[in-house]
Amino acid sequence: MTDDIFFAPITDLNARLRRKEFSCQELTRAYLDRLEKLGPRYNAVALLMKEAAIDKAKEVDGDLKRERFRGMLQGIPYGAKDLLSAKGQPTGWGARPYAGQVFDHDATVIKKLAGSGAVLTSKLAMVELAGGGGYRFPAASVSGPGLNPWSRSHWSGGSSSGSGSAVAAGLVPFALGSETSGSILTPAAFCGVTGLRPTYGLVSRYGAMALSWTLDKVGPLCRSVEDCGYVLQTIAGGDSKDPGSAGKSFYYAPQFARPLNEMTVAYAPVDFDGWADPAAKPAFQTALEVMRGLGVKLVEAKIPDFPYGAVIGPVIGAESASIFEELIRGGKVDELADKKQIAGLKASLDIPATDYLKAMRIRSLIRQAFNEFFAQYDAILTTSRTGPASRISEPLDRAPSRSSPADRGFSGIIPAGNLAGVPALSLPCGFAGELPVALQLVSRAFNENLILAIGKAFQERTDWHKRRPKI
Amino acid sequence: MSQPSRRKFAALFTGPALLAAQAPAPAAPEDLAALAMNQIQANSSRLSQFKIDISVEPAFAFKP
Repeated sequence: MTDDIFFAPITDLNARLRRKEFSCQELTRAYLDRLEKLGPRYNAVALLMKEAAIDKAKEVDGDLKRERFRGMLQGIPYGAKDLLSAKGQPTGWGARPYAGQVFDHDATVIKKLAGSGAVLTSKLAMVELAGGGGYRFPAASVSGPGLNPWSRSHWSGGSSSGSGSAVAAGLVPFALGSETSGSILTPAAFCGVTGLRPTYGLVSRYGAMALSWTLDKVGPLCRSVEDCGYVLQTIAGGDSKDPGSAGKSFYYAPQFARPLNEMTVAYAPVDFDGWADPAAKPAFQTALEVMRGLGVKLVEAKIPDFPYGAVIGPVIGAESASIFEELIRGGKVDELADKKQIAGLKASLDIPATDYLKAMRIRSLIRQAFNEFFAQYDAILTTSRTGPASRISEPLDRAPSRSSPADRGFSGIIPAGNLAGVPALSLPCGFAGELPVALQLVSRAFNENLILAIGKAFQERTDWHKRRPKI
Repeated sequence: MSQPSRRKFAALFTGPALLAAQAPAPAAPEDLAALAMNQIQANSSRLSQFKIDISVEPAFAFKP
């Protein structure tokens, strides 16, 4: 097997498994070796699951031999953010106080992927407790700072740090991450991979660490839009074990996508200019023109006007303080790596109930405003992050070096989109120096197929998603 | 929080490892506690300025 195999899309790997070019065991062993050898370079791996992975690969080979085909993910190795429980395996949530914690059940998404024949090879590193208390440094993890495969002196993003870097470095063909506010989109953008944040409630969170019951989502980080579609199809679906489940399924159906020239996409020029990091502007401007060239109708618009930061703060703060109350009051919180996170979690116990309720009331209005917005526009196009990854030595709460534009554009879309519960897709769209940057597409709830269709068309015209870091 | 310009200047001449060693010292725990409380109060103040109709209910059973 050549190195190409480590950067092949799921569709290609699946076809080659069916043609018996290699067995699932061979593929799995190759990925396990690579994870073992290269995972530590990026602090990407929380747990290597060699034995369980080989056992599963043998089972898949048996199925393939008997021509029991189970779909596109059959025989495909993958990694899961270490906040998803796998029965009998340590699930440490990236945090020292929970090191060695073992659950007696699989998370629903892990179970669904096992049923489809995917092979879990590893638990991937993450920011401790998904960063709920706020964190100051990329080193806020029991695994150390997530290092970016494009430049190890830069961050891989958080909180799904290992999920981003492992896909980018070819350690897994795809990974599962989770997002409360930016934790899939950020590592996807910083690592140059494609990431999909599903609609709230579309993918079960049963067996996933809770950070915020009303915001948490589980979603894929992959090599392409198409791969994201197939993974989402497998992990989506109703689940009575998740009170937030919407009871809906998802079928990836690119063949039924509306013609792009019938789509109206909202954008704000200031996102690609005033808000963008100067080094990233050329890539963003070029990508914007590629989007225009696809035939979608780009229309200038602005995000509905709400104090998104002031709303999402108390929601995450109050819910996470309730979830981790025992950790905080019992003092084990002091074992966390990041002092800001410790202080943030402790302070969150004092968020007034009236603030939480006010935030949740405003959230009702935000949801309504987004429904009305998406009655006018099919999607929003903006940047995933305003620039590339920061250096691992830089504090994440440093003051911006440039003044912010007066025009808000869609700059608050990460907290806004998460509060509204709508889906978003991050697409690699070029580089700022040696580091990747990305576009973001957002649409109405349960409209993943629309943003996947636009994203697929973008990736048919560009090759940013196929670029590989020098390993 | 801005970095001293001296550090930026030094960064031009140092490798990543040394740069990592020069990361700014974390603020004292009491400062961080005060900062966290200030953030909560700032959010609180911002929320109190937002006028909302009395009939609007919270999004408890959150469904998008």
